[in-house]
Amino acid sequence: MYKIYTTKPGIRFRLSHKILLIMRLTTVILLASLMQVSAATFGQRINFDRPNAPLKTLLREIRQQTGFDLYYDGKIISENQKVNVVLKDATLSEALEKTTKGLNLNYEIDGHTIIITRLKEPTLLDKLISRFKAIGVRGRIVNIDGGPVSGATIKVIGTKNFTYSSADGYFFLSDVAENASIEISYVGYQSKLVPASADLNTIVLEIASNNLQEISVNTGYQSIKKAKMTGATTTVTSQDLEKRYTPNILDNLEGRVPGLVNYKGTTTIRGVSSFSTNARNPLIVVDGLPIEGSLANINPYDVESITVLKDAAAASIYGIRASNGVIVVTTKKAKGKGTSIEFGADVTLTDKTDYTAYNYLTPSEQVDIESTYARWLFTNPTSGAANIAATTTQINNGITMTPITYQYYQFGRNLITTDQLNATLAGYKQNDFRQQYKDNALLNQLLQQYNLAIRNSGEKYQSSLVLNYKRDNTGIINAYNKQLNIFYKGTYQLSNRLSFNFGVNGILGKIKASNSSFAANGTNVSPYLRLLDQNGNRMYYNAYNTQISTTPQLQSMMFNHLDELGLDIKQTDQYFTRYYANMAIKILPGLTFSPQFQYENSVAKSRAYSESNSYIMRYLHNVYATRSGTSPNYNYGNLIPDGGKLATSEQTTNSWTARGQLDYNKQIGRHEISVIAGTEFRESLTRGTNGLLLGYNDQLQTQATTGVNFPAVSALTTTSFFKPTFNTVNLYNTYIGDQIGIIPEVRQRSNSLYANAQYTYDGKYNVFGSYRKDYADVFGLDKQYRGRPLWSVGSAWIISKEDFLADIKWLSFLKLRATYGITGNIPAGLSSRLVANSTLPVNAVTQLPVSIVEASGNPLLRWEKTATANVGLDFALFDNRLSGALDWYRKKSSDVFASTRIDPSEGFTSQIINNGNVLNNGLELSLQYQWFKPENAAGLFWSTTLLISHNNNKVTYVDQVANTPQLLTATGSLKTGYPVNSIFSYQYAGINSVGQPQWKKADGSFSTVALTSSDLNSVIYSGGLDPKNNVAITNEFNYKGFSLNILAVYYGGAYQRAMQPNNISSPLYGSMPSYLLNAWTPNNTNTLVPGFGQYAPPAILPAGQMLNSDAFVVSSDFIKIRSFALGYRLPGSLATKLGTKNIGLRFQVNNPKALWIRNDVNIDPETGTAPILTSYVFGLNFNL
Amino acid sequence: MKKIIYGVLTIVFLFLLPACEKFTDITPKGKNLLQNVSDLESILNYNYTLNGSVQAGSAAGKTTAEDAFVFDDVNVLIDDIYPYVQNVTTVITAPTKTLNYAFLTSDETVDRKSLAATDIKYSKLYFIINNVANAVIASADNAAGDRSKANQYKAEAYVLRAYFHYMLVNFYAKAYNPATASSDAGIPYIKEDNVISEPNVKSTVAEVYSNILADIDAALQLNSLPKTNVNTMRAGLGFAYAVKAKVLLSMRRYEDALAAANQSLEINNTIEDHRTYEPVGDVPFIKAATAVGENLFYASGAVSGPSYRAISLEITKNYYEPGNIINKYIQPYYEDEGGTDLNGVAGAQVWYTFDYAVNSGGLSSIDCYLTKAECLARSGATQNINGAMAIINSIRQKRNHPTGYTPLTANTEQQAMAYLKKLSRIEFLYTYKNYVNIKRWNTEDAYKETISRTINGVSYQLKPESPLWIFPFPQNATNYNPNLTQNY
Repeated sequence: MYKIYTTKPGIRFRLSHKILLIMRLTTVILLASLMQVSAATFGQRINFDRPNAPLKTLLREIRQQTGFDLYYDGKIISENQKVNVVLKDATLSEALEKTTKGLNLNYEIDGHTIIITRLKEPTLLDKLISRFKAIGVRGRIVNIDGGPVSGATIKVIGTKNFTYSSADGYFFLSDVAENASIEISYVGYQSKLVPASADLNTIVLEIASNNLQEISVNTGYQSIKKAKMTGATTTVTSQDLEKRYTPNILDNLEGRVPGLVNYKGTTTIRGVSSFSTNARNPLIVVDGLPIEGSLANINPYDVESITVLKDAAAASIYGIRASNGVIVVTTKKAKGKGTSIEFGADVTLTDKTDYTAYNYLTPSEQVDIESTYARWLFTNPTSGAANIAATTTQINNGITMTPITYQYYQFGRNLITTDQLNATLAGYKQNDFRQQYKDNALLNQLLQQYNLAIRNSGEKYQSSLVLNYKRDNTGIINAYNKQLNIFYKGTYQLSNRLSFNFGVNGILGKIKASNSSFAANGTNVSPYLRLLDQNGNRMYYNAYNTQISTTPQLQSMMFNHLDELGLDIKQTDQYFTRYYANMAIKILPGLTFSPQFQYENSVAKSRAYSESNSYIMRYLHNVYATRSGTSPNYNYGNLIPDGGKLATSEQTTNSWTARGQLDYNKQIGRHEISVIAGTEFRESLTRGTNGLLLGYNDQLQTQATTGVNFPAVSALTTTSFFKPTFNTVNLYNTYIGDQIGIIPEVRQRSNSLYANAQYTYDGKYNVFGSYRKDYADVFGLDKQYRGRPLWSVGSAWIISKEDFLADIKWLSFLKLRATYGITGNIPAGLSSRLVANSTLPVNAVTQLPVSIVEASGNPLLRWEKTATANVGLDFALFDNRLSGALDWYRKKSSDVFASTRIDPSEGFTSQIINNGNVLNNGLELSLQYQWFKPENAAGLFWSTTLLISHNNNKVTYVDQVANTPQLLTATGSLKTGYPVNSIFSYQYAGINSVGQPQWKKADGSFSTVALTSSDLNSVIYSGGLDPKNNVAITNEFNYKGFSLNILAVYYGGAYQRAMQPNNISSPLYGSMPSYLLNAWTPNNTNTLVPGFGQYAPPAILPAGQMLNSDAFVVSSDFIKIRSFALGYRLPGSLATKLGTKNIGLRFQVNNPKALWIRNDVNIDPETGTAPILTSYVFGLNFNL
Repeated sequence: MKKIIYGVLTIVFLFLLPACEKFTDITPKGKNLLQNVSDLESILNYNYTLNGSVQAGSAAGKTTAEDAFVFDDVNVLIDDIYPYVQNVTTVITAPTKTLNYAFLTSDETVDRKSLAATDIKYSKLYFIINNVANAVIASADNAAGDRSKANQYKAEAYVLRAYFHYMLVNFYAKAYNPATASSDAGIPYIKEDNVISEPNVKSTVAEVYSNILADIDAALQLNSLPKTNVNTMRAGLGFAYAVKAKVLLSMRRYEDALAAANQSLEINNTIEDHRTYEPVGDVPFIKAATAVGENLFYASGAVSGPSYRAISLEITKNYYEPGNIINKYIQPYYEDEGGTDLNGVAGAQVWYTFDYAVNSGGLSSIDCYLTKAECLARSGATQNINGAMAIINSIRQKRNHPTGYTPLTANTEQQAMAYLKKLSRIEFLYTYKNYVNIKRWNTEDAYKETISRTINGVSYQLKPESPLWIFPFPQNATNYNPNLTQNY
């Protein structure tokens, strides 16, 4: 595509290349003149018959008729300048000669480019002289809001003379030829070209929100200009990310990256391609190297750009870890000269949990429902007396019941009168435990985050120190989550040939949370009880166990949530450190060798201290209390010592990556070639221990663990006297057995060899290829599969640069991309060796250590393979006003790890082998349109970005393991022809005349009992769990320093199970679900909810059949405003008065009430229950 | 220039290639790689019972036999017991005919293979063969460490492999008949070189038995088996000879069987004396799975005994001697003597004690004694009917109350065999051995019998030639192995 280039804003990067080329050539005048001749010879004839036309019109005509690019400095031709020229079949040089005659203009023809300059530099001598007439150029770079742009590159075109703007935006460049052109560029802004002059004053850079050519894509291995990329990538810059605040940088990508779906806590790029749930996460790369740590640990204030690599050509360089896509994070660097200080603070305040949104009965409703049942239970003439007797036994056995059941039990035994009973019930109706819990235990979640960055840049050394502090009160009393993140990094420019980078990142985290499994929840107590009495004193509640009142050796089992939140606490310390160093050594011109090394160390230590009077310690005390002898002369003892319990855990992960890489870049004429090749070694090692102290007292620092007879504790599997017949196995495992042990050591290693090459011809035609061989410890006993190569090829054609599109003015940019390639994926926990697990309990009979072969060694095991084809179109129309990209992909994953059944005589009933296939088809569209483009900072700017992602996920082959309805309806079951995450359901056939729920069998008849494998066909598909369609619309407004950014999202095509009625045959000690209001009774038969209490189904319901019924699958579709961010940037003058370079304020609302939800069971599809809590962010940032 | 680059690249790559494979060749921790002799021992420490405190199918569950040595199906078939905690009337009248129905009523028309989705006997026994026996056999020679220990473990593994194949061939194929064994279809015999990706092929019954004998001989030739085993769940020399005796007896090689039985009895000749148990004696009726006593190798449904199993009325009536100490005096039965709660059969006794470990799947000295007795009773060079009766009486003496006990005598093979069959039926109650013995005797005209049971006044007959004697291969095997055709 041909255009007139002006120095007005909007010049694209291609110009800088051109100018570079031009300046080199113009120094050779002879060659230049030859070019003119050749141009004249081959150029097209030009006609122009409009006398006194504006010069610009004439020049545009010349451009159009010749198809040549035209470049001139806007200052040298004024808008109104007219020329009186008539051309008839003129050659190009004739035409230009006539045009420039007498106008003090000179022209040059360079290839297909015409450069018009002021007539001043016709001779070599003049040029030489001009070199001595160097001037110093100063100026200041600001953004559209008037804030300084620090670190912008200011470069004299055609020279190696450049500098960066300082933190305040100022720069000074010496040795500039008087007539030179100066290019000012900065990532994310449109470059600007200005003629040199001693004082350029203030230069305003415009944000290049849609300038496709300008952006560099950092793949982690190399940086490629977006225009040359053949692969499907999306880059999000800090300017975009800073428009809204999210503590986790991943959340900030929502609505910015088509194909990336962060849904219900899992992140997928272009659909799920593995059956293994541990092998679906994208690879995270920070500053060039993959990290083992979480993306949540990335400081959101310190991100320069995030690039998401989606197709094979973009990601294949990551080989066996690339199938799920790659997220490449680049942190900010020091730019400009001198010191700059940035400060940012954001405070997020979240609403409190709203228990009314949880579909519970109100306390009053629950009183009524329980009363109706309890009255019937204890007073009905047929079984009332028997029920009283049974309840007496239950109480003696320490089995829980609700307060209302207990009241009616007393009433049934005539221990209380009707009046007393009614008074109690009326009192209960006044209470609201959940509300009291909300008022006294819950807090508005407050998340504070502060960031301070000090950046320093000198001639040879640049450094950044970033401090980030985060504090979260986690929304409940006695808890917090604090994190301090310190990152120091620097760059030494040791010589022209050698630079050295290093960085140290330390994260210290401290988390305090309740260790009680009961106290952190306000719904596990009958809602008509009280947390506090009228006077604010704490109330105590629990079940009834007569043993406690008659046995002083047992401890009280009464409970108060607020007490427990203070008595049973887990503190976790997290330490994460990352060190890296790398060098770039220029061996030969164009050839760079860069060795890199990174070491990560992550330690998590936790201490869970349950004080001696905490509920769990009192419970353990009672359970492990022993009694011998005969009544009344019992002897009491206890298997565990009095005092508290301290459970500790320590887990360490060490990992390192070493990489050596050669980069070769060369441009010869129109040929550009770029090659990289290297090798990478990685290792990660995780290990840890869990420990337990019993009889622990934190104040006295005493413990009594050594005296504990652990075999006796574990041997007591049934209690006989505190809670007769209670099985202690789970209790022992949870609180004692599992707290002591080893976190097995896992060491993983991989190694790879990789290379890729990019060739560009004429700036239009791009070809790309990559090749990688991976070795991993878990695979490849069979030589055939060792280091199986992964590769990709790609091509891109910048169509808009072609001659035949020169006339289409509205087309600013058009690129067609096509790629194909193969990437890999490794599900963890498998090995191709025959190994036996040696971490299991001893043989219970012989008490000898036992190990067992758990899976057959499969030497044929190899990594999962994904072949991706991608075709994409990048475009910009109407002078970049409308821009976007469209991508179609087909991701075919084969060799997916799947369980296949085998004849058990092989030793196993199934074997994990590489035999599953998954197909992901999809379309991605991103569109941006700028409704208003302001002329200056204060003007109105409005742009809309629309992202549409469609993904169709399907298992194309799996050896179906589910051969019973129970297995098929279970979570994670797979079936050929359906998505990986599918919901399979029983067909619920409602409730029959006697109140028994029933399900459809394969033959169409109804069954009230568990369906068997012969009814497998009656199980139906009820939809997929993952959304198929995502739409995100971002509207952005700027006006007079105010900015408004609104993100709306739509997730469609997903389903979920919700609000399935449990079979509740007797009242629960806790909040009961509201659907019980519609439970089946002989008078309420038109319902799907089984009867409650006396109307409970006559026969026990088959396990899981109700939960997995089709009637309780609902659509997960929704439309929400995700965030609404209002910003204000103080006017530059005011900011300066306040002693800063700029000051910004932010107010943001996250997750206001959903706009539209497509289900009628009153749930938020994203949580499955109550809506995500709305939060409010208040932010401040300034630069010094 | 390019040459230099290519040169550098080539050198770098060539240098790194061997490093890659070595670098990624690491030994994972928490894993037993079977590289050391000591690693092999923990493989052999398999728990041949159910451990109720670990979940079935879990990693810990895989170190246990779970229900593999619960022989309810086998014992219902031969009318030793009634179906486990099921009401017999319901089983018989239910519209859906179950496997238990087929076993209970000897109904040959029931399509058993379509009802046998899985079979724990099949999957677990082969699991043990592959992942205990073969894993050790395959690794023993290359494992570092004490050679004599390595040979011992390998020999133990050979014995286990032989024994479990012996069990399998009896369940899923015809009993060994010298006349037809070489053409009777058997089961796959799985050795240490088994390739998982290739479906296993059935051997003939004769081939299976010759493989079994070859494995026992291989074990004995290593000359490393300890005389007494490490514990009751490990194979020792006594067990090896007992297996050999059992297999040879099945093959009707009575002289060889006798020799092997004697060799085993030289190591363990215990006969537990029931007269010491309360109330006849003063010792509680308790036997731990770890107790050596009669046990040569312990494998069972549980360490706590076959609780809740209801003994059939026919057994109680026709096989128990009146003075039997367990049945008459100890009476380890459920309080509700009728057992009607569980099985709906009035008078059926339900085993209900958790302290007496019945060895349902292993071998004991009693196996050797009864093998020896049968060999002596049988006509041939070694025939000694008095010797056979002496063994039978020595066992009876310790099983019956002294007041009612009288020694039995026999003059003919048939008489001696009749006493032996009656005794062994009680000795082997709850084990798989009654099934194997009756099935074996059914191949001989002189000893074949029709098992007859009466329920609710209806009589059901299991004929000697009934296909029910051969268990169907389960569907989770036949579906994935085209070679595995049914043997009945």
